[in-house]
Amino acid sequence: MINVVDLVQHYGVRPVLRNVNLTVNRGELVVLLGPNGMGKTTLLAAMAGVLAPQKGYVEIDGRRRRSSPENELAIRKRVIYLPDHPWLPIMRTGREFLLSVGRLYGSDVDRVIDHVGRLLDLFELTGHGDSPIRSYSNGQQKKIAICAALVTEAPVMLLDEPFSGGLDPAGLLALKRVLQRLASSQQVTIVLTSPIADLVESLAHRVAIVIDGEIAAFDTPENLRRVTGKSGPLEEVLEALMHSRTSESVARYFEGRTP
Amino acid sequence: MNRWPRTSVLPLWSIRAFLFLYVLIELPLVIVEWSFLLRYPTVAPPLTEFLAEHLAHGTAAGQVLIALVAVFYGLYRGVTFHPYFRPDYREWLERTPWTRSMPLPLGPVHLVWEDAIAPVLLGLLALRHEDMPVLGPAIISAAAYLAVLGAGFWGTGLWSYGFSVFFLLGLVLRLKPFPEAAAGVAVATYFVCLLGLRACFAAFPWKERTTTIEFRELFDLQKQQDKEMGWPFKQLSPVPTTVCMPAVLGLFVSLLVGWWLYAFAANLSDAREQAEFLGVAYHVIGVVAALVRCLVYICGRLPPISLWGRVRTLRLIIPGYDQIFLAPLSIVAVVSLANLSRKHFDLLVVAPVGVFLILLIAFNMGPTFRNWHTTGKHRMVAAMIQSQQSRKL
Repeated sequence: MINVVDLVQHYGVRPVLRNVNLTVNRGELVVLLGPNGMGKTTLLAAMAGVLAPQKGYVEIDGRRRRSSPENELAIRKRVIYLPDHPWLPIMRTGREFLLSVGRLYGSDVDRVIDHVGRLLDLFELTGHGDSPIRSYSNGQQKKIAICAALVTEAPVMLLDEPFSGGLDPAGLLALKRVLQRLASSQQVTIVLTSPIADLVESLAHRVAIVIDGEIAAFDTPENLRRVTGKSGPLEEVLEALMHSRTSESVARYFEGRTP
Repeated sequence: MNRWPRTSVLPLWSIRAFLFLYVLIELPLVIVEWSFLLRYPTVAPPLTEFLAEHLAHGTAAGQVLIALVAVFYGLYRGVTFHPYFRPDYREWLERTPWTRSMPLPLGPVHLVWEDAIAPVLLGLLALRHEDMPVLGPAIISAAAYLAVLGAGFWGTGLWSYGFSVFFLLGLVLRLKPFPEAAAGVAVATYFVCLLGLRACFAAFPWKERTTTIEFRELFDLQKQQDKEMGWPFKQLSPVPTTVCMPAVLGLFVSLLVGWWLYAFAANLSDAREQAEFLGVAYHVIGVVAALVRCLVYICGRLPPISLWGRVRTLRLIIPGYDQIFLAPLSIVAVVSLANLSRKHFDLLVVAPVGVFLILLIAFNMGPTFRNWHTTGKHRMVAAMIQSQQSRKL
């Protein structure tokens, strides 16, 4: 379980997160949705322990992040964080990289070898597994980064925009199915960010809408529909909740008006 | 051929390289000088006399070469046979029923009579060089060999032996003007090493290590590359960081460096030269220690808010982050204090004590890197240094 309590963060003067409170239950798949620059990545980074917030704290399975070396290392064993733009060791082959990451998280070697083979097959990288990562396309690099997150078998996954970065339709589908299955049958807690609602509609157990560093809404897609009175796709719900200004801007643009 | 001479005599390529370089250094000078003398046949001595004169006196460059070969021999003799320095040998040995009561398969780590061959030959060659005592090559070889054994003791967790060996080697350095006394201390050091080797091999296979850094891995580029996992897998690794040094080891290393500085500087006969050397030494060590300490802690870990943010929010000091600057500032204070006290105290005491304190602060002052890495109030970023081997997606 992830527990975010009164989180405040600012890099400069402008607050990026303002008193954010959030609880994600075990086996739940939560999607952080929101426009760019609203604090989704920062919130995820705070959960991942990449940054120490100015105020508030994050607890993972009852342990507070950065409270002691022992607690932090215990949390790290259970949490994997995949940023939007990871850095990959370009001189190593995809297989080597995945094996190292898998072993880093303490999995048995034989198990990791088998898991790596299955992941490469899942993301259609078997033919490239033994080539250096520098020879991969952007989409393939994104896939290998996702594989690295999956190979850890961590019970908590924090994924920043996993569906962006040039994934092909097969990759998108594979990732969606895998995440669904991990959350539902293996009780893996997943928090991911996405700017696009359509992609995650069928995926999310609950959706947190982050606007101006605050959680504007946090509920299941059905409840969000009920609150907004919209019955269509999730995008309509989001339009009502957070893109109303965008609709007005579009109307102004075509009407030739300025605000 | 007997195994010991085969393994304790330098490899043939190195002997050939040494002879070639030595002749290359010594011969041209003889030729140039002789051709010069030929222009003045009236003053030129007979050729036999000229050659005899040159055979009796070598050049300074030749002397340096002899010293380098002596060092090489000592290092070679220590590294080649000690399983700690040869991972493959060590791993293989761990899988055999070998115990310390059996001879080591590749040859003994301790000295055998054949080990006298190289230093004796080099000593004979040193007779040509007026500034190098006959015992010089033997002492240099022994010091290098003992240093390797000392490093082996550190590496296998026998700190007391490692510390003793390096302390005594400092004494050998201090007694450089008295070769016989230096040789005596070197022999005493060797006996300490023999005791250490018994303890060392009794503890084989070595599970405990002095530090979590495998020194040999630092120079293994392939292993370094294999460890590279990019951002953020490495930074958020659940495995404790490898950059740490136990406090006792930090204390020992600081003491040793201070002692070695003293031992070296005390041999400088010219007071002005000594003062200049010591002055430069503690300043350089201070600056380097402060910078390295800063870099290790800052690299990849930025303050939680920007400098502009600090100014605008009037939070000029963020204790949770700025604590890492206490150690570098303390180092600067020690250097300044040493500068002030050199007027009142002997620099030969002030500088080594200053260096000891500088390194003690650099190694041991909190927060420890492990605590900083896991609980510090910082913001992790992909370090610039990673761009050599990683690429941002």
